[in-house]
Amino acid sequence: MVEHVIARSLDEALDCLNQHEYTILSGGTDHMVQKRSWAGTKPLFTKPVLFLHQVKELYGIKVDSNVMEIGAMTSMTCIEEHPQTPTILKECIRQIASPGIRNAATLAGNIANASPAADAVCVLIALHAKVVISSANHTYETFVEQVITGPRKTILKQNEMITAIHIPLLVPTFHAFYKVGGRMADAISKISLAGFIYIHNGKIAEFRLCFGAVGPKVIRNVEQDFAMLGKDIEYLAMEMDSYIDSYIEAISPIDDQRSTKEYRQMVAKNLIKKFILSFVEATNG
Amino acid sequence: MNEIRFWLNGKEVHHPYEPTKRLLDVLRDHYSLTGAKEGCGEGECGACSVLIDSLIYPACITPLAHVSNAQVYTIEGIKTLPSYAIIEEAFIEEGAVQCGICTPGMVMATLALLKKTPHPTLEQIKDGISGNLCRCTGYNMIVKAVLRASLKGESPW
Ligand SMILES: Cc1cc2nc3c(=O)[nH]c(=O)nc-3n(C[C@H](O)[C@H](O)[C@H](O)COP(=O)(O)OP(=O)(O)OC[C@H]3O[C@@H](n4cnc5c(N)ncnc54)[C@H](O)[C@@H]3O)c2cc1C
Ligand code: FES
Ligand code: FES
Repeated sequence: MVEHVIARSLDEALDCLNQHEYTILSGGTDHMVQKRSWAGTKPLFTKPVLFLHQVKELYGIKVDSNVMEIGAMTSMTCIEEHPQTPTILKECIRQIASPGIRNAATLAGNIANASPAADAVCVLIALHAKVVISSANHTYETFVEQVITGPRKTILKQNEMITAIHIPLLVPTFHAFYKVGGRMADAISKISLAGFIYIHNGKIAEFRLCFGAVGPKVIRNVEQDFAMLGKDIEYLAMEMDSYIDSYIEAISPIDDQRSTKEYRQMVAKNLIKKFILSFVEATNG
Repeated sequence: MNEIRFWLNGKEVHHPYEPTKRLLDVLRDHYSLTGAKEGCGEGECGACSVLIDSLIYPACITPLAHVSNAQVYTIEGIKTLPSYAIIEEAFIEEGAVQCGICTPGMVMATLALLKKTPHPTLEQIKDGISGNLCRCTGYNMIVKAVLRASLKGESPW
């Protein structure tokens, strides 16, 4: 029986993954709950656990040529407190859980857990963030949306792990993160929207909307977003309703135990509308 | 590697190597520290709050591995601190304790908040205790108690 491992270095962690099947534990805020058993008994992990908590190389934030590199074990609290963290990500983190959870929770866990309602994933996709994935033999980078393939499903192989997140620091002309849920501190989003607009020479140069909790995974409709590029603000205001209709059709919200399809459609529409109107107001005002 | 070493309320302890065990169970069952309570067992109610290296965490979802080499404080361990006396007095004066089950967690959350933010705004107080549920007080008295403690206390907490 392979034992649980508290890795002391990145090499040790990657070596372990190369040799056996492990369950990776970062903050544990998703996994300790999912594997929970009765009080007084150990959580029901079916595989040995690889703890990343003591791997110093995985902590910290560096900024280099306009890209922020966040070590996989860096807590949401540290990310929220960093002066160069994009405002939209700070706003999102402040709406995630409570201080105690944010002290433990990581972006890597939020991504790898692949929940359709993961709030940070929604914002990271809108920010064009990339994930650095490493194994004992290789390291590569890919966009967050490419890592998550379905509910609780990722492209990560058994010998791979997330070692860092890269966020380009393009300051948007306008951004917003809206989260609709029950009680703030522990509400799983019923629906969330991250929006990012960048205007260059009076034209829309970046238009990114990303929805959480509407379907099996966090979703961005790239085609609809691309249709906005090169347009000016008046066009956006004028075409808003038809844009919203085709957007909603394309993301087709679902029914589940937290909400109905109709509710999600309605709220998704209202959120896009709120986002666009706030943007138009902010630029005209 | 057949044990996990940490400091519990200031004393060095060597615990058997059970890294997946919940810190809450280790505290309550092994060290008889029952101040941290189990409410929900899933990180939502804050009744099990402890300080690890001065930051607040829910002990019910903290695996023992995460306290390796760390300083862990429970409500029993902070009782002798001057800052505890200030918080206790403020909670009594504002009537912030009714049945009391949430109180150890609320006190830990208050201390964690004041350590970081000695003069919090109302919003910061609400965020500071946002991970702690109380079924009795309606929160207003607790918010007032935290505010009162912050006005009485001198940093550093
Ligand atoms: C009370 C409570 C409230 C919450 N509220 C919110 C909320 O409002 N919004 C929200 O989005 N989430 C919320 N969460 C969920 C959770 O806190 C987040 O998803 C968090 O980001 C998970 O990070 P972690 O490090 O704790 O993950 P862990 O539990 O450590 O891991 C989660 C999953 O990711 C895998 N994994 C972790 N790290 C890596 C890595 N480096 N490489 C590869 N795989 C990895 C693990 O194997 C596991 O499958 C809440 C949780 C609780 C308990
Ligand atoms: S028992 Fe730990 S948060 Fe509820
Ligand atoms: S005083 Fe009873 S739960 Fe808070």
